[in-house]
Amino acid sequence: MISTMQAKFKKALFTAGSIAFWILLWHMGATLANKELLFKIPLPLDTLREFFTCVKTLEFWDSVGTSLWHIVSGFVFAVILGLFCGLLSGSSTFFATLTAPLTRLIRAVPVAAFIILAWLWIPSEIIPAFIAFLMVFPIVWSHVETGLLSVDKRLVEMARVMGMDKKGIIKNITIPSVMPQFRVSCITGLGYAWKSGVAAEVLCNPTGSIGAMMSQAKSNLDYSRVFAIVLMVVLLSFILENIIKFFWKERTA
Amino acid sequence: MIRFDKVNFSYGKKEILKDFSLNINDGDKVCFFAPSGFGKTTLLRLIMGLEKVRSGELSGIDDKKISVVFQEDRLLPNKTVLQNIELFADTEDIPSVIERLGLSDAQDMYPHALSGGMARRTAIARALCRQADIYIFDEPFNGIDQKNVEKTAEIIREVTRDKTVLLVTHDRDQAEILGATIVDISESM
Repeated sequence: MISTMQAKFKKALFTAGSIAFWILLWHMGATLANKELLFKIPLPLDTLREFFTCVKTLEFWDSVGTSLWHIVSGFVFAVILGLFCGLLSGSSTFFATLTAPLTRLIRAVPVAAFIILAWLWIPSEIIPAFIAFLMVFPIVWSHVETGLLSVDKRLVEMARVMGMDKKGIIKNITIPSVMPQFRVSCITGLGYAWKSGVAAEVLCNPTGSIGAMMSQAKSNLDYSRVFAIVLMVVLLSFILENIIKFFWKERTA
Repeated sequence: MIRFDKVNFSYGKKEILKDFSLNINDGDKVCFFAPSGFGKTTLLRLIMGLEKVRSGELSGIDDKKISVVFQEDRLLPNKTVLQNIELFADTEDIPSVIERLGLSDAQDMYPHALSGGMARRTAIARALCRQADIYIFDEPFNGIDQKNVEKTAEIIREVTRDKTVLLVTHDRDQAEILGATIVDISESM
């Protein structure tokens, strides 16, 4: 017990140390760049100050809420449809073969190209959700398909001979085999949803979103604000990922 | 009675069983013996309904309840020893079987944490806790140390007393301690 706590403390100390190292490097780099007039980089302290100024405003939280809505709705829809398609293609070779070109295409096209394409037809308010969906959908799909294909056929054989019905096989063999893959795809997908969703917001500027706010700060050459908003995006991504990990713990055997 | 009547079976072009005939009466204890590749495991798979005969007839298995120990342990990795047994059990003797097979201390452990012998005994316990008409054992004592083989064999003999037992092993002594009649299937083809 004590050794576990010591190990945890040691790990936390190392993490804090490494964060401090990078902040120090940022500070030194920014000081040097600003002094030599190479390019402007806000200092860590200025960024933090701007961050706290931002979080005190209602407008900021309003934007956070809007972006959260965009990204989470795209993510949830992608998870539902990805799960459905993954189950279908994992159990039907015909469906897997038929849809393979589509998934390959979605994976191959760069996010920026999708954003531009979507911009041609879709209202800018919907684009971030749509892009988040497009990024997460193939990840969930392929992970669920892999999980389903990796079900141990020998266990299924054993269960059938030993009289287990289909429902029992799905509950006791199939789901436990698919679940770890599905969980990983959701956690990985959420990170992608954030990155791509905010990128879409920056490009398409839907009113009252984090991306639009970032884009405006950039136009005003307000470097500290841009950095503060990026910090918020990173924090939100970290919080959301950990919420999933907390409520959906991996069942270790 | 399980009856093989001129059964033929092949994997692709590889012929495994050719005009194989054999009768196994209810309650018989039979050990299939033959060199590797002569289709011992295939015979068991045909009886379990996991393979279909190409030609000939296999009868007497349709309404039979089967319990099996495969060549590999085939334990569900996300279930404990006890759960692996309970999931297929239809007897109230689980605690007694677990205790007699020396699994009491391991019943809450997951398969990955078990030694080879413990995992094997779990697979045997799982099969014995299911009341079946036919018990199938494919190399049941793989990985079990000599000290435990006799103990395990005794429980198998006891539980399967009036039942049909089909066994595959390379060791004639193991067939003997289970009281099984050796059938050399290489001679039946």
